[in-house]
Amino acid sequence: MKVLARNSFLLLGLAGAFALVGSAFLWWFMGEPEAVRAPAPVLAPAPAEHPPSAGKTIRLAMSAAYVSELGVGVYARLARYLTEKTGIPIEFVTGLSYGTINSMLEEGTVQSGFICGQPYVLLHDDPQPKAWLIAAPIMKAARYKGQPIYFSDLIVREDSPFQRLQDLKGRTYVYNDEISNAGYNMPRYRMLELGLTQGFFGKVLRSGSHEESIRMVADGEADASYVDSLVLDYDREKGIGHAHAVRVIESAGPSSIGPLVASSKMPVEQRDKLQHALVTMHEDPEGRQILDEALLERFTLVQDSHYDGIRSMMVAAEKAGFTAIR
Amino acid sequence: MAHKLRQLLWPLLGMLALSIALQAASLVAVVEIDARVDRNRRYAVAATSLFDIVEQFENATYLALVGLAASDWEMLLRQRAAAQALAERFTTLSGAMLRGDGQGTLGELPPEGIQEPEALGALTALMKSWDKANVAHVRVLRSENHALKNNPELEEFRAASQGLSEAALEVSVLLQNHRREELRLLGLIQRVIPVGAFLLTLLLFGFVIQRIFLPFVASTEELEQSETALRVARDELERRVAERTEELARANEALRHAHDGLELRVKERTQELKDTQRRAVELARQAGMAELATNVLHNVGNVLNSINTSATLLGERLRALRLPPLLKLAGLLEEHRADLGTFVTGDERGRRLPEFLGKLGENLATERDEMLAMTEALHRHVDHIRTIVELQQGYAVSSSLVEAVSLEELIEDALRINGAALGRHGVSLERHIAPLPRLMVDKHKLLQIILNLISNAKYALNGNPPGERRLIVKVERLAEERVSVEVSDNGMGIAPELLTKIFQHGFTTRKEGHGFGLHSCALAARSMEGSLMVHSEGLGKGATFTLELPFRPDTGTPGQVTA
Repeated sequence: MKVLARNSFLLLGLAGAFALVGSAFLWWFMGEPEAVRAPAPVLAPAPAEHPPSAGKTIRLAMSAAYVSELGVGVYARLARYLTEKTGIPIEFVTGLSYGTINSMLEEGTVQSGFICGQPYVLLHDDPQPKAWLIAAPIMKAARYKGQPIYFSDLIVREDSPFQRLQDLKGRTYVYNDEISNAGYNMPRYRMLELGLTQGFFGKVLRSGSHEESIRMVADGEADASYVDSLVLDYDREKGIGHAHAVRVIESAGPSSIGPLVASSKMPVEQRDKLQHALVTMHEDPEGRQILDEALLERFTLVQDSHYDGIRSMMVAAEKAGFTAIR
Repeated sequence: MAHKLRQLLWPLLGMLALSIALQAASLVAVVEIDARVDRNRRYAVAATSLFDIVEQFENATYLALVGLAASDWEMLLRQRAAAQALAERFTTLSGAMLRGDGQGTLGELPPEGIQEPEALGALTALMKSWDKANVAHVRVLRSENHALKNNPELEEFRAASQGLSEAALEVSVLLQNHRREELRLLGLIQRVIPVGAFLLTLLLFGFVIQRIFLPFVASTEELEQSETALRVARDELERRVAERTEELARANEALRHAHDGLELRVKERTQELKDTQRRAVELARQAGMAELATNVLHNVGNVLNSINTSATLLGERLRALRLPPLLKLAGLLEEHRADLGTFVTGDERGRRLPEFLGKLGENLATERDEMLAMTEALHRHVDHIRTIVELQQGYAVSSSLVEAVSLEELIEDALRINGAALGRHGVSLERHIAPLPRLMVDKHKLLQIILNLISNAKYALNGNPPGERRLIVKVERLAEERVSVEVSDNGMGIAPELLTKIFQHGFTTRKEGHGFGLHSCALAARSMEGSLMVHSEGLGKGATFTLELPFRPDTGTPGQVTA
C-alpha cells in the first residue's frame, strides 16, 4: 500500500493501461467504421420476363383507338380472361402505331388485335385478305343505342372561344394517326363535306394517340382535335387523363366501332375459340365485371359490310384528292 | 465521518455520471450516424440503380426503334416490353426513394424517404425528366416506320433521354457525396471517443489517488497510533468494571440476607395472625353456644313457671274439694242404721238423700275432671322442657357440621323452643314457608341466627298492646341457588341512623343486653357464605331481618365438616 501510495507514476501507468483496455473494448463494441466494410451490392436489374409458354403463345395487340395507354390495365385483364377461357396463352401488346400493328398482323407477328375500323378495312380489302373480323364491342352509354358504333368528337380547350369547326381556321390541329378512322378519316370527310379542303388549319400535328391528342389540346400545344368518343368517355369516367380540361364542340358519326380482328395467319379454330369467349363474356360473372370496368355492354358478331361506311368516306376523299388534312 | 464520506462520494458520483453520459451520448451519436450512413448508402445504391435503369431504358428504346425502322417486329416487341418493365421498375424505385419504402417491398431501402433537401430536389427533377422522356418514348414508338428519318419525336426523345441521364447521374453523385461526408463524421467521432474515455479515466484515477487513496494511507498510520492508546484505555476500563462488579456482588449478597430475614418475619407474623383468627373463631363459637344456652334456659324457666302455677292451682283445688257434706251424710246414715228404711221413706231428710247423693256425685266428677286436666297440663309442661333440652342437645352436638336440613323443620323447632314465651306474650304467629327440598347447611349456626331473630322480635313487640303483637316468618327461594329467611315484626322499629350500627360488636338498645347477638349472627351468616340484612321504616314501624343463604340441595352424601 505504502509503496503504491508513494509511487504516483506507477499509479498513472496503471490508469493508462486501464484506459487502453477500455478504449479497446469500446472499439470492439462499436465495430469497424463503415468505410472499411465491403460495399453493398448494386441493385441488380431484374431479369427479363419470360412468361411460361403453355402451348404456343399468340399476341393480342391493342391500338390507341381504344382506351390507349390509360386503359391498358383493364384490356390486359381482358386478355388474361381470354387466356383463361380459351386455353390459348395470350401476350398483350400496346404502344405501337396503327400502321405498325397492321404490318405485324399482316406478317403474323401478332395474331389478333383490337384495332380501328379503317386499319381493318385496309387489311381486309387486300386481294388476299390479311385479317378477319372476330367481334366488335357495344358500349354501355345511351349515346351508342346498343349498337357497335362510336363517334368522333371535336374537342377544344375548355376556356377556348371556339364553337364549331369553322371557327378553327388557321389554328393548330392535332391528329393521332393517319390511318385512324375517328382521328383522320371521319374529320377528313367532314371537312370535305364542309368544303374546308384548301389549307384550312394553320398547322397540323401528329400525336400518335387520342390520349396524347387530348393532352396536347388541354395543354395548349394544339387548338383542336377529333378524338375517339370511347377514349374520351373512358378518361372522363375514370378521371385519369386530361379530358376534364377540354370540351366537345361537335361530334361526327356515328361510325362503325373498331373490331377485334384475327390475322389471316391465325388458325381458324383459335379464332373461333376467341370469338365464342368474347360474345358469351357478358353471361359470365367474371367477364361481366371486366366489361363493366371497360364501360362495355358486350361483344357482338359483326359483318364486313358493317364497315362499308368507312370505305365510302375513304373513297370520297381519294376521289376529291383530299387525302391529307391541311 | 458521514459528512466526509459525502464530500468524497458526490464528486466521485458526478464524475461517474459524467462518464456514463459521455459514453452514452457517444454511443447514441455513433448509432445515429451509423444509421444515417447506412440509409445514405442504400440511397446511393438505389440512385446508381436508377441511373442504370435509365441507361437501359434508353438503350431498349433505341433498339426498339431499330426494330421498327428495320421492320423487325420481334425485336421491336421484345425491346419495347423490356423498356416497359424498366419503366415500371423506375417508377417503383423512384417512388420508394421519394416517400420511403414503407411496405419494405424493395428490402434494400429504409422505410422513410430521402431527407436531404438537395438530393430530394435532384430526385424530383429526375422524375420530371423521366416523365418527359417516357412521353417521348411512347410517341416515338408510335411513329410509322417510314417516317423515322428526320422525325422530330426522335430528336425529342434523344434530348429527353440525355437530360434524364444527367439528372440520374446528379442524384447518384449527390447521394454518394453526402454519404462520404457522413462517413468522415463517423470516423471522427469514433476516433474521439477513446481519447475522451482515456482522459476521463485519468481524471477519475487522479481523483481516487488524491482524495481517497492517500488520505486512507495517512489515516491507517494514525489508526495504528490510536489503537495503542485505545488498548491502554480499554485495560483501565476493564479493571474499573471488575471493581464495580465486585461491589455490586457484595451489595447483592447483603440484600439477599435482608430479604431472607424479612421472609422469616412475614411467616411468623402470618402464623400469629392465623392463630389469633382461630382463637377468635373459637371464642365466637363459644359465645354462640352461650347465647343458645341462655335462650334455652330462659325458655325452660318460662315453662317451669307454668308448672309452678299449675301445681299451685291443683293444690288449691284439692284443698277446696267438697268433702265435709259427704262426711255429714255418713254420720246421718250411721245414726239411722236401724231404721234406715223408715228414715229413707219417712223422714224428710231421708227422702231427699238420693237427690243429694246424685248432686254430690256430679260435683265430684266435675272436680275430678278439672284436676285431671291440670295434671295433664303439668305433664305437657314437663314434656315441653324435655323437648327443649333434647333440641338444644341435638343442635349442640352438630356444631360446625354441614348436613342436610329441612329448613321448615328447623324453623318449626326454633318456634317450638320459643313457643311458651310467644304464647305468654300473646304474640300471634304467621308462617309463609315455601316448600323446599333439604339443603346442605351448618344446622347449629342457622338455628342460632333464627332463635336470635325470634327472640329480638319478641322483645321488640313488648311495647305493643296485647292482640297487636304480630310475628311473621317467611321462607322463599330467591333464585336457583339462593334462599332467604325473613323474620318480621310490627314492633318498636329501628331509627334510620341506627340501621348501620346494628350489626356492630357491642351495640345494643336493651338494658340487660351485651350487644353480642346480632354481631355474632352476622358473622355466622358470613361464614355460611350468606348475609344478614335489616330493614325498618323507622321507629314504631316494625323491622324485617333477612337472612340470605346459598341454596345447596341435598346431594345425598354424608355431612362434611367445614374449614
